[in-house]
Amino acid sequence: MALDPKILEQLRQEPDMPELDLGWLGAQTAPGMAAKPGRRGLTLAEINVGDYGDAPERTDHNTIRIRGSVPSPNAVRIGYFIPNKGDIWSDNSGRIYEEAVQRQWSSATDIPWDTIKPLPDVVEEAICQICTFLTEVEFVAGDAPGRWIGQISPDHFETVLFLITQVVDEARHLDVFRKRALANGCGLLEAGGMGRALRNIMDAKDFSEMSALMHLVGEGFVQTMFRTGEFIATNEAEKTIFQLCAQDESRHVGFGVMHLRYVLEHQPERREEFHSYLDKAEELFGHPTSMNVAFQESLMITLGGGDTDKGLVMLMALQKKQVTEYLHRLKVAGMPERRERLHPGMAMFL
Amino acid sequence: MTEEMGTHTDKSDIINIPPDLWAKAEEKRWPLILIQQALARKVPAAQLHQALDSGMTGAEAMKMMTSRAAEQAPPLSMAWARVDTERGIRAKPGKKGLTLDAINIGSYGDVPEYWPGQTMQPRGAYLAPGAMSMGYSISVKAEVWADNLGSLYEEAIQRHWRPATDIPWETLSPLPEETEQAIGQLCTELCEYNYMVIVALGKWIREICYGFHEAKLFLSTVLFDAGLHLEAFRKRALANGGGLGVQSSGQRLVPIRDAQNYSEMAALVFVLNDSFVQSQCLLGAGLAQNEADARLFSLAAQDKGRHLAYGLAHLRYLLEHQPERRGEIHKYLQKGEEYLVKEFEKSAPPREALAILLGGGIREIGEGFRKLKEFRRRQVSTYLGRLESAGLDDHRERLWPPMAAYLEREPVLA
Amino acid sequence: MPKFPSAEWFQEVRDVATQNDGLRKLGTCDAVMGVKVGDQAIELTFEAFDLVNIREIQPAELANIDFYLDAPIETWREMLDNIKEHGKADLKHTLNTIDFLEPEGFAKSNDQSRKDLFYRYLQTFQRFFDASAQVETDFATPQPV
Repeated sequence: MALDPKILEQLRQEPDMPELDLGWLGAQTAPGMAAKPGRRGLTLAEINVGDYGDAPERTDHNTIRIRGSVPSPNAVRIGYFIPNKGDIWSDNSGRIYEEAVQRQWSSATDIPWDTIKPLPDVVEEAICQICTFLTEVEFVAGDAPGRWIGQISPDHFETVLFLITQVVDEARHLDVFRKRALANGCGLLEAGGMGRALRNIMDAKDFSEMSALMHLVGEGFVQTMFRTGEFIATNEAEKTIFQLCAQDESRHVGFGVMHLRYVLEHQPERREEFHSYLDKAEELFGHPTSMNVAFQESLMITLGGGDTDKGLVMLMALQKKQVTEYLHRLKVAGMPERRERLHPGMAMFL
Repeated sequence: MTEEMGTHTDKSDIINIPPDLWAKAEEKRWPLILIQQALARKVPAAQLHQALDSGMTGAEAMKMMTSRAAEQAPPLSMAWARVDTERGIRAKPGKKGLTLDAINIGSYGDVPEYWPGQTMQPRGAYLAPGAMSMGYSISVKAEVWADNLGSLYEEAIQRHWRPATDIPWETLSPLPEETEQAIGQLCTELCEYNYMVIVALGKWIREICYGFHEAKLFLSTVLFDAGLHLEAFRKRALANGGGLGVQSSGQRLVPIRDAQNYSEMAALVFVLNDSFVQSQCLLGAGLAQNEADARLFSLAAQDKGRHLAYGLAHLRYLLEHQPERRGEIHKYLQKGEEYLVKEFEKSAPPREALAILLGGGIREIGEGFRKLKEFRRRQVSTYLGRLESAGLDDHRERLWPPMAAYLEREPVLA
Repeated sequence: MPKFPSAEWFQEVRDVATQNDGLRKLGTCDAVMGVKVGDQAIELTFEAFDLVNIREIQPAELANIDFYLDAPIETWREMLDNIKEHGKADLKHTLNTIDFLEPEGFAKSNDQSRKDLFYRYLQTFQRFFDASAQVETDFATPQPV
């Protein structure tokens, strides 16, 4: 409610009173909100009601106006924000964000580091090679979103909040695998084996392209691998690391699946475009330049518990699982036809 | 696009699949790793062609190969295990667990003044030939470094809080209408500022080279904190019958938006603006009329404490290692001060909202303005104290004059 | 009944504050905080998740530590009585409120960066003093050092 003009007049007549405006009192377009905490506390879902909850389909103001605040005609422009909601949206971003905030963990104190005991050299080296690979590649999923965060309008802030949790998750992943590599007598080993696939993520020209390459392909495959961490792990510390990282990756993959579904529902003409992104990513999955020998050999050693033939069988089972789950996610997102278009290099794992 | 660093070991023993064999394996849908393993076990390529043509499935081939495994030569190249990296590192958890500082042992802890690579090579790892550049551009340590990065990162993880559940939202109760709207206005401004921090940091984190991973990690937590604050202040504005206020002019954000190098952005965000924002949060906590506001604003102030600690340590490091940039930093800060004062003086909603809160209500806004003068004096004085602590003790004379004018007011807060 | 301020009093508060991981839950805290009451001074060393050292020092030594809380005994007494009465500080008696309202502040230091630790670990220090609600306190007039 606007201030009573009589009160304003009285205030203006007080000695030494600076010039008063007070026009902002009662200027709210949608006041009167009194959101109450639910079973999960006061989440974004509780406050996303009425006008405040409506993320517009299109936004053009290019200022940092927080959704639901009263526009100021003199506000400075901050940059060019992606105008279309469909280009960056996912219906689960608010819920995933809240979950991520609740499920943060510490690599320093939540991992039972004291359970790490000396291992045979070859196994320790294999674990350290896996850690070198993961400490190297995980933060691409921290670097890549950064570029897009600055291009998403505050009207669509839920996506930004989700992406931020992804960045901090990946920071922890970089950190925890480095710590493991340096905790048991070996150290970091060989890096540099996944360049093209990662560079494609960094170079994506469209948010949805980035999401397809990173969330659906890259993180999807990593998530499946983390879930088999119990076979890779040699102790409780490693098992815990893989379990916690898998939880985090699940959220990222979940965003990617729901973003794809949102795009396909709202911009069905983009279906073929998504196929082209996936063509590009799949082609690299088994390509010689992307075939990371060090990573695959170290997985064979750890998965087989030192028996590399058993490890080979398990690695192939893992790769089959990765491809199967990838196709399942695409089906859930609304692209069941991808199975028929799967790149032969990937189909051979099925 | 590619680059090579460090010494290379002989990689000739890594098995590559001949293109024709590759194509046939794809056609017959045999897993490539099977072909690779067979070649590693000295199975002739011609024999593999034969097997592929025979109609044998990939699964059958694998079964056959693994059943013969015991008689075969060692199947793995293991070249990756022979690279020349430092071995024997056994970092042990301390009182704070296994921290980043605890693993900075030997060569892994040596952070060079210049990191030449643009790949994702972790510090201390061997880089395979042909690794691809990722385009990272901040490769001079002084441009981003602070000696407390590792400890601040771990602290941020440990002192993480959850707006949905760590704020006693149920303690919110109706406030006088103008007071509630003033809080909504304050929250609106804080949301905007945090969004700007998000936009700025998103741009810069991805520019930092992998050799300085501690910076990437800590700044990720700052980004996360900014998101939390955006979320938490929005929730506060919408939780007690008020609502969000009027959009600010955004003047204070202009220099951050326009920052041309990382240290300029860092000085503007982590030294100047965070200094003023932290005191605003402390004000929110100090004047709180319920537990929810007190907790919310003081937790936000705590987070700002880490950001400031980084900003000042970075400034100190920069001045020590690139003393020629002192004048440049003065200029950045002056520009930031100019725009900040513009926001303070020209933008009525935030100023009047603070006066309502400081005075204790709309009727006491005159008293609030008097207290606001003292509040500004303390803000500027604290800011200058921080600059002195970071080694920029000559900034007092270079303070933007309208900001320096805040120092002349008499204390009236008590 | 331990006297305030004394090392014994702070030790009892520390024992209460660290029960059930009371300080650990708030995260790490690394700061050396002083408490100055008239001519008496105490140094409290917080490290990682605990208060690891408490000792009585000369007031002049306060210049060497991160920051110290300085107020007349009446202010301290009002704050601690309030904590006792409510089980924790009410909104007018938190460390931050006192700091905010005091013209020269409650927390003092000759180095702003070190004083900033007070704000950075505010919740930990508040939780620590709130634990004094469970400690019997003797406010006998402090003896000059």
